[in-house]
Amino acid sequence: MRFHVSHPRSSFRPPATPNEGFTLPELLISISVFSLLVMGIIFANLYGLSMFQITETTLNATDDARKTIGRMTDEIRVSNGVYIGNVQNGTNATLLDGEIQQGSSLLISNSADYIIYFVNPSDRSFRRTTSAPNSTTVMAEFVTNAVVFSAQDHLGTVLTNNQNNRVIHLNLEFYQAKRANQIAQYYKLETSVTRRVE
Amino acid sequence: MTLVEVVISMAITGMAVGGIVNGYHYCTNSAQKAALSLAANALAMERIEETRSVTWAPDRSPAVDQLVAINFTNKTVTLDLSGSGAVVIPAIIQTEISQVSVNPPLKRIRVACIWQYQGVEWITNIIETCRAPVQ
Repeated sequence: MRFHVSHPRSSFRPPATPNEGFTLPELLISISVFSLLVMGIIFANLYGLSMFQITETTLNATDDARKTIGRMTDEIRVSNGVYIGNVQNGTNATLLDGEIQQGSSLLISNSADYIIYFVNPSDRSFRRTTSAPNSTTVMAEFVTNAVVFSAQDHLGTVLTNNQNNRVIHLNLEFYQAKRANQIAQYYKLETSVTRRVE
Repeated sequence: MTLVEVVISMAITGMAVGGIVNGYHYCTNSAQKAALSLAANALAMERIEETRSVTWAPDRSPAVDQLVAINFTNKTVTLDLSGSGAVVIPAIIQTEISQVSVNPPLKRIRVACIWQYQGVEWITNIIETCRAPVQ
């Protein structure tokens, strides 16, 4: 008895022989498909790289800002008093009662010493200094706004007196210039801190 | 190579490339969402600090209590990631204040920052704290 088995192969192509190679159309099509795949992967990698640079710049700035603000927040909360003022020609002048309580510096006073955060007008850097000599450090650079600190009430209104229970508002806008593998970008940081009144 | 084989291989290639691109896109979206969430958290924290600034002195005569919800109405703010106005998302700050205990006096402050991500997903960042009169 003989069984006939039908061959499932397509009818417009003869069966392959052991020595048969690829035809030119087959090679062209496979090269085209492979090129499309490689181009897609390269494009995806370039896109991911650009996104990574944006994210990395943002995260670096956020990390630095969090450290700076966290430290300043702690210092304000435990202080004896906070005074807003302006730094000009290397001298900090605190604002008096009756003046609008906003300026470029913040003096945090403790029992024996003080800390001043200020924007240096000459190089637009945000700095921290203390009553100890040679203690000035640069916290941020390329600050674009001059009025950084303001004293507000609980409604967000800027005060005109030096009342005890007030909210110190920080608004820091700065520009991070282009660096190696990082793009240029603008940033804005805002926070509010209230001294814990005893 | 048949036409069906070519179409199937191209479809598989397309899915592979699409998957890779989607992966990058998802990562970028997640980073932006995390940054917005941090901004919302910071804004909620600002409201917490504002509630710390008001006077609450039940021992005074007469007693002063500014730590009430009517002093902290809903406020619309913006989550501005870059400060340049490129990505600005509105958010609402809601404040709830409730008395936890009269003796000793203690109040619970709950601040919620509600915002919408890409016009689809509503997200709420909540910060809760307690406050005594002298704080």
